[in-house]
Amino acid sequence: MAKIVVDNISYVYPLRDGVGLKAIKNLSLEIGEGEYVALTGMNGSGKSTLAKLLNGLFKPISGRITVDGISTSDENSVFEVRKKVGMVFQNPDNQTVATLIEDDVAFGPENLGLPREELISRVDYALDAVGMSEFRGREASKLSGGQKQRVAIAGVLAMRPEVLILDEATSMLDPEGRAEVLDVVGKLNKQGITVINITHNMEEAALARRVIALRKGRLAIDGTPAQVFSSSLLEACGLSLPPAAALARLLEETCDFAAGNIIDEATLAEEICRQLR
Amino acid sequence: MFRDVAFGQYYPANSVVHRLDPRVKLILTLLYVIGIFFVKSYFGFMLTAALLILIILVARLPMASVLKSVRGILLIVLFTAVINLFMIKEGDVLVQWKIFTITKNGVHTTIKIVLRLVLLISGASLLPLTTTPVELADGLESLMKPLALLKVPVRDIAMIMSIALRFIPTLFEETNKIISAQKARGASLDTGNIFARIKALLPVLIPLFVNSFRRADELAFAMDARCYNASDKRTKLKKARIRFADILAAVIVCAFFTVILLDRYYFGSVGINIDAMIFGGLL
Amino acid sequence: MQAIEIKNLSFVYSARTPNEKRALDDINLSVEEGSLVALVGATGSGKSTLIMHLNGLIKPQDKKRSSIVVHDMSASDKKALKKLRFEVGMVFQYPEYQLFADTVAKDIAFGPKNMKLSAEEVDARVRRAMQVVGLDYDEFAGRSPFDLSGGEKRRVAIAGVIAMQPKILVLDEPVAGLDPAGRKELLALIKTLQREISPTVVLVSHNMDDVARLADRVVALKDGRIVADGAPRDVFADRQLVKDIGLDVPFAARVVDNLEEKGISLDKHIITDEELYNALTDLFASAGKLKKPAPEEEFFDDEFFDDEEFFDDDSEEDEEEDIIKDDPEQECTVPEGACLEAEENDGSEKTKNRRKDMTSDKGPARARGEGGGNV
Repeated sequence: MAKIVVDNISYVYPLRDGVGLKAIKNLSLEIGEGEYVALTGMNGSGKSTLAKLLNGLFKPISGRITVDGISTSDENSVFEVRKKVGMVFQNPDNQTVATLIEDDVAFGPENLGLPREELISRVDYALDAVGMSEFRGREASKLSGGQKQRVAIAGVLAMRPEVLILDEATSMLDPEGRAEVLDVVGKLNKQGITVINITHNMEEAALARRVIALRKGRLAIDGTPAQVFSSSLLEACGLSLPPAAALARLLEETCDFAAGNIIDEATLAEEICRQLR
Repeated sequence: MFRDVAFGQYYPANSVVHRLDPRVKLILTLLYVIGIFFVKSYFGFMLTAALLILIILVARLPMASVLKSVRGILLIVLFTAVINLFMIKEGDVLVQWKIFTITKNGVHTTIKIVLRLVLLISGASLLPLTTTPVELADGLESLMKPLALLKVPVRDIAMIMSIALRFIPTLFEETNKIISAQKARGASLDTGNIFARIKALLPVLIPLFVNSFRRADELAFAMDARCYNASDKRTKLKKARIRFADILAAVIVCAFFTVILLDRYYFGSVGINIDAMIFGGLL
Repeated sequence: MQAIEIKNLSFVYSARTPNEKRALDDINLSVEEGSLVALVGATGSGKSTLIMHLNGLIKPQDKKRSSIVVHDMSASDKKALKKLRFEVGMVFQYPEYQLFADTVAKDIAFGPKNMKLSAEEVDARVRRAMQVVGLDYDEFAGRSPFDLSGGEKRRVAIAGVIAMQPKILVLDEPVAGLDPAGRKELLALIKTLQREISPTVVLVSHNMDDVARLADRVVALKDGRIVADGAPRDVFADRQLVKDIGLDVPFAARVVDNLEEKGISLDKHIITDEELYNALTDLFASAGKLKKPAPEEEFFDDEFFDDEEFFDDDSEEDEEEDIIKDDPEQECTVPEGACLEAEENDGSEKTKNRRKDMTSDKGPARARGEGGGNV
């Protein structure tokens, strides 16, 4: 069953009086329960705008988005949507509200007015899920980038969301921090949380089971990573192949080698080994 | 670097005083400050000093950290002392030299004023020394709660306080970065007259403002995404509990306050007599 | 000749407090003029502290023991401080967050003006800097830097540094946060900057593939010490060392390792995609599984970052003139609820003009969803 239904939406960024920027154009797509989707496209393709539309931070000017059948445009139910669809943003420094980590994680559930015992158990659960339990009483500003983003994920998890959107959440991290965050996200997906990872890192996109590429506010490519990376539209979307896929394709040109669905180095090595024999 | 300064004077230690409920500490500090103004005799000052030293010892604070706060007002103390010493003309004259007169009354008043100021500042500094800014904000919020009845937006004020505290280290870090970047382009931030300096600050202030607005914008999205304003009743993870130590602290400070009041208004001469016993002919 | 010579440099943050941290521990480092040195290491390894010593933003703590000499100038010499800062250009992480002036040209002119150059010289340097980073003067000079796209802002910030024409350029994570197209263009720009403006470049990077492609030399820091120093292929060849430092190896080296597990041995010194490709085609050739001789240039054109080996200067220049258009969201006006679609082309100038025309006579539109905006 589709978790999120995006039905023919458009969105215009208001700039100044009477001027807008048409960021999303007649976009339709469905995202199923438990999916791991990478949403990609070059800067300005509308991917971050779409993310903000999915949990009602923006509202489409036409068309409709529903999460479990609940519309994001309805003021009365928008908080229901936001409870279901949690979002982690790009800059680790601009999304923590409280000085201490546990207070920050509790922020969402506190807003929901949950009883104190429930708050405690949710903070425990969320910090444990991202492996930050031992840091709970510390100051968020003294953490590394990766740790800050894990705390941000915990802050979202404490609301018990069904969908987790990462809006370029790894783009400001070093490789170590990026790996930490992606590891946590993969685990959460295995536990049944739907993940939408907005990224322009192709190796990261390859981790997803489905890749959606936007171009100028429209859906350009939608499919498995293998399908997307073999799409002729990839370059037009301002995207590049993951290095393993690029190399496989080069080899295919000159050697007796079938590139097939190679997207990571392990498969590349395996295929080279197999096809050499 | 800057961050440590920004976090005020908090001196981390594991002590009973550190663990007291911030609301209790706020109220007791207020009581102590008021109490000091009622102190009349040297006996009263000794009592105050004894209480102060007791707290410092229990809180495991180094004396230096408390004296540091006094150093900040040293000039004011000296200025007040000198003014009082020469301005008070009543009483037995001790020294007379040209236009300068020092009287016995003047000396006593001066000593008491210095004691009062020093004890006041060092006592008040114990609060930030033993309480983190976050706890202070939480305590203030809790104490302000009754104001909600007067339609004061206590919840929003508390939120603003906590976010401001949260962003102090971030903004300091950012300011440092911008200063470094502009210095790297040859900016001089510390030469020239006042106008030149203000002008030189613009390359730092403008990006700082622009970035702060951007941060505020992103933070607003992040807060909305986490259902800020979803419910009229926000609950709190932290629930301060009054413990035995809080009650004990309250009893001690209240006892001190009572003795000071009694000394001033009821016993009348007890404190003065004790002063006389101790200092004898000096007075 | 050595462009930078650092001797016995140590640095301690918050000395004699519980937060004491040794950021640099007896660093000795010389950087030869004309080289591109990559400074690598995990976050907190001391890279930032080290580079801030190079232009006197941080002064050596132990003046007797340590010395930093940049082109015969001592970094401890207060009188030469300004001169040092113009000699060592420094582009910090996310430099676009330090833009401040109301026009691009004024922002770029900030450095040259601080050098007390004549107005003509300042203007000439601004034009030259913009040309080198690939920003068209007529199009961008008068615009507000705050209205530009992320990639354009970063170019303006870099132009602001190279307008001082420093002999040494320090770049701290210059491609962080850019999309693939932006990354590719900026990486290409680094080589141009080295050729045109600053012969010596110090590049701080977390991306080992970038390091493998660009650097002549890698210096790795760990806990404030230099733990590896040498040509990229030699440093990366020592897999155990790289692992101990807490770094990745480049993609090509990872493939080599993967192949070795499968029993195919390739040279551990392979670090770039090109080298790997050549080694693999050799492998296929010796197995008699080659299709035809490979005209390599064509294949690398799209997929790979252009290396000088594969391109002559002319074609590289062409690349650079192709400005990043990070912000191709077409702008359109929304006169009274209706939405006009902008053309498919990205010519921001064209759409900008169009926008101006439309705004003058039309009322405000309800573009926001809250307004119940039906179209």
